[in-house]
Amino acid sequence: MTPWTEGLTGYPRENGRKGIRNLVAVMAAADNVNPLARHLAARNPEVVCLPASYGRGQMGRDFEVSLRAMAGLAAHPNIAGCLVVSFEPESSERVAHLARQLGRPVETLSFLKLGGMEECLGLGGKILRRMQDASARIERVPLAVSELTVGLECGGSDATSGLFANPALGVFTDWVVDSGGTAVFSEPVECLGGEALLRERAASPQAAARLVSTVHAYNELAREHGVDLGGTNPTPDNIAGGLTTIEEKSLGALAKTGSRKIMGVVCYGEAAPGPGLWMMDAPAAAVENVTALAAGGAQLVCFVTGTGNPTGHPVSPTVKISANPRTADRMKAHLDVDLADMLRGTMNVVQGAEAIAASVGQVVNGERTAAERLGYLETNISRIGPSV
Amino acid sequence: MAVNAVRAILLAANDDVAAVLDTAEVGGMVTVVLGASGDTVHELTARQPIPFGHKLAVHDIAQGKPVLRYGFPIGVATTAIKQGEHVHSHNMRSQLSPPPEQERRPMVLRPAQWVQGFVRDALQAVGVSADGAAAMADAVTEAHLRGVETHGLRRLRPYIARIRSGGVDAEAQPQIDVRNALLTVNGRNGIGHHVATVAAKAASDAARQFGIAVALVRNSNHFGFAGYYATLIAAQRQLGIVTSNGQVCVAPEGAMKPLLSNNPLAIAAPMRDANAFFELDMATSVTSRANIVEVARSGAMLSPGLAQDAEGEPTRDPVAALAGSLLAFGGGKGFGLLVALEALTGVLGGGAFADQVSSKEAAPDAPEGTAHTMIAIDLDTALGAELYSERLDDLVRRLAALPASPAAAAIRYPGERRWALRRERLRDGVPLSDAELADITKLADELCLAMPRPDASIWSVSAS
Repeated sequence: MTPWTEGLTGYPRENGRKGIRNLVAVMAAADNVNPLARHLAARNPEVVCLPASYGRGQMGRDFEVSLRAMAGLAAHPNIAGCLVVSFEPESSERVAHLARQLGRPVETLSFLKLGGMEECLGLGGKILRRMQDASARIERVPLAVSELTVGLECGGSDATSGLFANPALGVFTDWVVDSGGTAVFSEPVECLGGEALLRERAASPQAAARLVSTVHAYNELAREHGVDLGGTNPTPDNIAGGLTTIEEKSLGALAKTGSRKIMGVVCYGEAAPGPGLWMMDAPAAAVENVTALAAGGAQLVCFVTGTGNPTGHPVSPTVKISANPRTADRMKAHLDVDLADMLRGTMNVVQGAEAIAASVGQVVNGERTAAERLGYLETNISRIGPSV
Repeated sequence: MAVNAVRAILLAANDDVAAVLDTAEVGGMVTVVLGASGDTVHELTARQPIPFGHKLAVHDIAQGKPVLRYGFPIGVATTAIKQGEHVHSHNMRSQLSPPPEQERRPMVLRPAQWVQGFVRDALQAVGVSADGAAAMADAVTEAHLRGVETHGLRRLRPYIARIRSGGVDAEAQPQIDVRNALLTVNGRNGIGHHVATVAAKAASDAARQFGIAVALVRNSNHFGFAGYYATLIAAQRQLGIVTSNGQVCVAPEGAMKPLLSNNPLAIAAPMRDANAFFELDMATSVTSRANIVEVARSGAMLSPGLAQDAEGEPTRDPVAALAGSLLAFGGGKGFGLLVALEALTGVLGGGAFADQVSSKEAAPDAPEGTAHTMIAIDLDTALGAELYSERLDDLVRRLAALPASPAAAAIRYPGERRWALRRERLRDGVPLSDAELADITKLADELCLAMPRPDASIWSVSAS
């Protein structure tokens, strides 16, 4: 069997990165131009629509997070060309400016400047078709694992996640890191109680301090809102399933990060500054989380689920992995990697990692994930502050 | 792999626990495989039933030691855990959440007389008669000496609140009607501890005369722990049997409302060692309401078989359990014993029985109407107190000498732990938590009492 690292290909981009998809996208810089973005995508088949949830009346760090995430998505290596639309020209220009700093040219279009829907649909359509023609001329070239950023996520977790699928993904993560690749996990809130592991695996004392303070910040945030994460975790369901403490729950989630050193913490939607394993400061809700990982430049996301979570991201193909036989049976169409044999005892953790690697290899080379086939794709950037 | 063995996954080689991949039965073989390699690393026997996905100890874990899973601590063992035992909330807790009150290391030791003096002064400050205050002070102090803290100082504040609201008559003296060996005692809504102490003494005196005596007590109040009164009788070279009713909390299986309390049964007898007593003291519910409240606070789930909801359905949700009922221990047999104890107590004594006993929560100023029954058997009249104690010692010696599996816990007789603790605490002092001490200091302040200041030599702070 050829190793999974052999024969991988990707689409070269202006900034030297490589994508595993060759998408053309239309992005709304704020919610008031979502109708325009949707109409443009509907009239131009194969164009991916990235609507905005907000984008107006935001301020401070919240605004910064939104802009960074929008720019990260617009400049994503899986996107060959991106058109950012906005009402007044400044909004799309702000995103375009940040995307250019990431080394990707994007085009912009202002509703106000052009004078209305009809004009926007006409010019926007022309721009998108031009981008599609240009993208069609880009050919796949060999891609090394060191050019890959893999996002790691788990959602709808159950006993099989912590026992089988996460440890198998952990072994695969080690392989990615050992081959010079980048892996990014997230959900600091789910690391509460795993501080001992984070400290031990941190690449430096600074990284250790940053990892632990990032995790604790979520605990403080929850407390401010009257929620005691330590007191409400594990949940009654978790306890009935055999989980006793929050430490145990967190270590089960962290199992997907493997065993290598953790280099540090990146912000929401920020690209990892170098190879290796990183933690991203993003909340745990699946759509917001995969959006953050995608915005950080992950070409794909490995997503472990126990009871079945269908979420996929329109820009970063989301590989669904489960070791729950019931989920593998009932939600077959939503899964890419079935690890139920690990529970049955006929597949060990390394074989589980090999199954993940094989699927990742195929997805890198263009095979569509279950979520892509089903069109179960969603994007949504987190808010960390109120609108005014 | 052994035939029909249940597989269990060890996630890291140095882990203390493995997750079973099928339900493990008691005595069933478990094959522990290392997740990373699939290699079998242990073959052991499940000591308890362990549900799918739950953890089993792959070797003995000492109390207080961290429990490793994924190669990292997931909590600490709250009791000694044997190889093959189920590891879950009952014997392990998170190191992140504060330990529950009863687990917290006592910070301060106080002489027993200090506790006794404080309770007596506090009660007298709210108008309790001298003998009433002394009786409750003795009972509360004994609760601390014997490790029955649930009936200790933490009850003082509610008792005082009830006295102040007029729910209990602080000065009432029980009225005893003696008909040979049968005594009927009207507590006249006095302090429960006082009524019960007087009744125990009267029963004991009558038994000395007649060989046996029964005291049927009505119109009393909560009296603390039943074992205390049984040993009051036992200390008179007699065998003491004590039961009581109380606040309604237990329902028969399937019933949508509770009807009975978790009536305790205590049986005590003297041993040859004057500082040891045989002391059985058990409530008839599987667990106490206080424990359910504690679980509800922690957000955890109840073990199965403890309670049912307001629809009479078994529940593991502590909140639903508090709205429903506790269950008797031992299924139908335990419930049958509870009903029989009520027939011997409230029903026989002519006082309130079953749900006629008032709840202090529901009606803080209404008399509870609690009933107790006490039986004293004079051992000198029977076969001689010395001979009886010798025979009883022989019984417990033979119990302790039973051959047992190396893994078995020490075999103890009823009262052994309580009286070992009592000897230790009489010598070293009674351990009080910071919270308890703070609360009684506050109470003393509220009652304008000077906190007794025993000499500095006995105000020792424990090493922990």
